Amino acid sequence: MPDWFAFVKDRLGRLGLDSGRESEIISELADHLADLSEEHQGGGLPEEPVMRCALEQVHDWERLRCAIRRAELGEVNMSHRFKSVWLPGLLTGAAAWELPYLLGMLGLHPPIVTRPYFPLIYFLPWMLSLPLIGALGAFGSRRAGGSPRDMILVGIFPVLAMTALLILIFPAALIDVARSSVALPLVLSALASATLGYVIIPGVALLVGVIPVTLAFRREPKLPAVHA
Amino acid sequence: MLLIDSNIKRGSAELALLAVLSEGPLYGYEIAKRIERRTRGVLKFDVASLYPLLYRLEKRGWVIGVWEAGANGRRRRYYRLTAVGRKRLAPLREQWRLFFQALNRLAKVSNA
Repeated sequence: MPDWFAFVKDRLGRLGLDSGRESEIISELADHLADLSEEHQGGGLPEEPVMRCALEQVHDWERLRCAIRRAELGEVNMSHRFKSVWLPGLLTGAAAWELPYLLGMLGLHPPIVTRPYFPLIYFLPWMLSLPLIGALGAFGSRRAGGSPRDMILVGIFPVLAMTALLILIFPAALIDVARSSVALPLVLSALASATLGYVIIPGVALLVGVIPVTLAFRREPKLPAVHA
Repeated sequence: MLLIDSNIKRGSAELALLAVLSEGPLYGYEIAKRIERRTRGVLKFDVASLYPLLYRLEKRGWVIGVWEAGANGRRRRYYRLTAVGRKRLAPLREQWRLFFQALNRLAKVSNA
């Protein structure tokens, strides 16, 4: 018989409830999986498909953990999307874009590479911190029950927000060009520099942290150990 | 598998659970099996959808779970409808009856 209790305990992790209640929940879930596999085995199915069938009962253990915690603790009724995408995304964005100012306050002033009309921040301490910020954002999303897609979205949220801002700025820049106050090549060059400096390069730096965390937490369910 | 708005899905899941428990105490696996059997497989509860809902209903005081030994001697957590849950079931049934009537008037779903 597979050790379903150990399997559920391992997958569900700590629920943050009192140990008695936590153990009850794990037992109950394990019993359900045991019943299901016994029923299928009784129907003559071989062991491997029986196990698969039982494992399909829970596609995302982290999400189940969050749902149980919400049910048990009556946590603030935020929508799942808000908790797993928007909240960690906004925090990641704030961390990424506020960090240069915080570093500046600590006396680490960024050398600014200037392009016509637009400064690019190639600020080494900031760039080096972006993978960590992206990784923390992705991890935060995962802890809130986010899917691998949510984790990536949250991890690169700072550059997605900046892209949206640049898209908003673009028509205003074109209006300036139309009024002939600024030359078009200058505006295009500034936008290209901004895209490179505030979207593409930081985006790559964020992904360096996001991808390993997303891969590490995108665990496929493994079959539990079968005991004789 | 039907894709239904999550509020409707949640509401229908609550009704399904309360309705089967109104017939007598059942443990989680039995609840899932009974719902699946009665709805001929249209409604299915897996571990991920069943237990968070049961715990939520328990927190609300609509159901209560008690560990008891079953017929084969194995201890199970049997869920029963409480007086509050029983009281809640009647208006819930009425709401869904009205909902289906309205939907039927609109889309003639019962003739589909």
